[in-house]
Amino acid sequence: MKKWIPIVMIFMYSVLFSATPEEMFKEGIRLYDQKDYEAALQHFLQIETSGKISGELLYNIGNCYYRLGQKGLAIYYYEKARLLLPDDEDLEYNLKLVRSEIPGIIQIPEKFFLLEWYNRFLEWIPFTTLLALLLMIFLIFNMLFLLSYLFETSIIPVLFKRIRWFLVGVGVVLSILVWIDYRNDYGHDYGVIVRNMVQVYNEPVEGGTPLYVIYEGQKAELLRTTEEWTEILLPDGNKGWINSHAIRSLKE
Amino acid sequence: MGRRNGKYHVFFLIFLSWIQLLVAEDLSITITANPNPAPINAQIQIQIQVSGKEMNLPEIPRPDLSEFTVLSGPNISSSVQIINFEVKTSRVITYVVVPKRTGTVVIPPISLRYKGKTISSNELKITITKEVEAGQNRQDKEVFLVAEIPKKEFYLYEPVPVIFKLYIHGRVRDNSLRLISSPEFQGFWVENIEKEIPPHQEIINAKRFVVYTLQQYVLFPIQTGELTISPMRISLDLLIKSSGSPDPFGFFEDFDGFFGNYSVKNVILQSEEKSVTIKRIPLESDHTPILVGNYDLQVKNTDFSGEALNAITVRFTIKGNGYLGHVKQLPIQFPSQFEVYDPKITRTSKFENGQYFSSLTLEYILIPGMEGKFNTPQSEIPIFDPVSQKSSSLIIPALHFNIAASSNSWTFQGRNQISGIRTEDIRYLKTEIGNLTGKDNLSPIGWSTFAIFVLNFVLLGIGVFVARIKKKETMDSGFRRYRRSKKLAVKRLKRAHELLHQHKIREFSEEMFKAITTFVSDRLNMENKQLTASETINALKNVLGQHELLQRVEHFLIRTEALRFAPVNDQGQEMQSMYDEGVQLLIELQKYL
Repeated sequence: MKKWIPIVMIFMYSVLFSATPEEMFKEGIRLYDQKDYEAALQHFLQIETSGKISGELLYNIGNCYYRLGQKGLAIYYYEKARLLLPDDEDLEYNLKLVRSEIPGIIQIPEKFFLLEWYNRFLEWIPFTTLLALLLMIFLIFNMLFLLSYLFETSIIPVLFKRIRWFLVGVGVVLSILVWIDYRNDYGHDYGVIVRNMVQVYNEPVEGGTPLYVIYEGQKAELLRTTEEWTEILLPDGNKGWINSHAIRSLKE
Repeated sequence: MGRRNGKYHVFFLIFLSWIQLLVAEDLSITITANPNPAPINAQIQIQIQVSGKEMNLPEIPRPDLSEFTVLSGPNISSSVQIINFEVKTSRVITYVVVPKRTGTVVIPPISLRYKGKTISSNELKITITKEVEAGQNRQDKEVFLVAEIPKKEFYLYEPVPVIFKLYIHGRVRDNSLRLISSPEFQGFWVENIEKEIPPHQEIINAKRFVVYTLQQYVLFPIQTGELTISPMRISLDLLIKSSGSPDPFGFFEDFDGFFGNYSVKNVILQSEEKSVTIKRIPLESDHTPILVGNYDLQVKNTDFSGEALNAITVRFTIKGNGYLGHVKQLPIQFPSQFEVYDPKITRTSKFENGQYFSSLTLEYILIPGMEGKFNTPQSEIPIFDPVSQKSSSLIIPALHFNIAASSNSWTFQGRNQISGIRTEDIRYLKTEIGNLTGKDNLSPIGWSTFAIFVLNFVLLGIGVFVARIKKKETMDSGFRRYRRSKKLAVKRLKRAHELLHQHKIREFSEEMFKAITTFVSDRLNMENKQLTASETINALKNVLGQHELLQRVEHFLIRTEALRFAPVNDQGQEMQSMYDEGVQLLIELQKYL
């Protein structure tokens, strides 16, 4: 019996005095307001290491890293937050601002004008909005379909008969856009460079031919990964190998 | 005597006039070159001859000699001849030139207007061949010009020292050295070393040469690939002894004494064209300049304090032994809240003890837009040392700014308005933690989205189910009525039987009437279930035609209607027979409907 007492006390203590994620989150905000960015970051990171994340938490971590001058990690966490908050205006603003402060960030080069318009349309309407539109169209169709049989003598059957093909057409288009957008954002393994300046080589060996240099905050697709090397694909289509420790995957 | 003199004067005047009359307006201009063809290092004599029959020849415009270096001219000589009372005058204008290039050089015709006419010379084509006098079979030459470069391969921005040396074994007339054309350094940044080096002596193939350093350069290649250093060309006068060999000692330059007379020979000397290979630096950066050589960076101050909207000056100095001409900016990430002007750049270079030194000062003017503490991160400039073949970095230290609020109250109207300072900063934190999810679940599609999807499919399923039922109903209503008709008819007969026993004649007859008419309308799936007698008969006519059953039904319906509206006293047998007849009619109608 006596052996169990300390164990029970420790358990009670940890239950009573361990902070919840919400409490740590609030504490992190308080420290951030006092400009103690390092301490605020530690609080936010502790929530992340506990295995739970949210878009808001990742956004706040990104802000802390920016304040501490680590723009690569700031962009990394913003990009990660973007997966959970795809249409957050503050997030997009911060990402754009931090990227503009890093010279040498490689963006997607200009394409044929139709492709440009298409990309801009997908960027303008976030993924969640497209998905919501699709679900709404689907719901309207089903409701009208059902009601047209339940209220045969009302105006509903006439209305349904008139707009059903329009709804089908819009639904098909939205489905395709949702699928493409989802594949673009979530179907690939992306990462962000977290070191100041990284040399890109043509092959994953020491003494390989250096091709060019990329900078922290650069987003790239991870193609192949070994213990020491990672093959990346940049937005301008260039490929190469870099040290695996210089890039962090957004899926980590 | 006087009369005789006067006579002679008249004849002379007449003679002169006659001479004037005899002068035709013939004028010709010819232009020649000698030698033609000529080697590139030869002196060419270009002569323009103007011939005419007038005493006074017009002035000749200068020809286009842009493809030549003019050594002397115009030298003019004139002559007048009178042959058979014909006057011939000529003027020869001579230029001594040296060609600038090989190939065919064209001197266009010289034209002038003379007494209302345009007189033109011929076009002159001179072929210039390639012939290099210096640099070939050097050991056989008494004088030659060389360009010395220490090696054939260099890295981009690596200094390329070039020295032009004149080797003389013999005597040269003082002050006769002339530069015909300077070397060209395409693809290089050129630093000219203005330093006099005294001549020295070298023994080459047992011959003693005095070596003069004519010019020194330090070239910095600014592009990769094969670059060429074009030759330098000079001319000078050699003093050749009349026996053919120059006095090697030069002691008796002005003597005609013991070693005989000297003749002067003008020679054109040209150095060899040199090619160098410029290699890429094995470390490249698209944006940060790479330095080649050894460098040091000095920054006077790394901690700054000031007020918002007041300028702060930050000065960096880079010193080294290489090229700094391509450095326009430093890779410093100034705070976004600062307005940063392009730096003021000051460059210097010098030679000391045979070494090249360069220095670059960049002075940044910064205007902080707001109060606060700001830092710039430490950054680097990559350096490549071509000697050790190693790369390193020039560290630019972090800078710290402590900016107080501005003590000036600026208004944003009028001429004191500050424009262009736009402070940008990241947005504030999120104050709500949001929906926590597992670290592996990086997708905005949550349970609610799936629930809506499922709901939609459920609704679709219900809709399809209802649609099928409705369809079935529409198709089977007639069948159901048909099947129900007998049941209803039996039900009405039962009711009628009850009424029969209750002696309720009116109700009984009504029930019998409806039993027949409802049966017919159900069987024929007519909309109106409550048919009149005539409607029933008309409907049956389509089926029964003139069958006697139709008449019986008609008779039966008339009787039941009569009883409905005018019931008579009960006569049980009458009603019973009506009942039986009604049953019989229904049985028979069933066969036909």
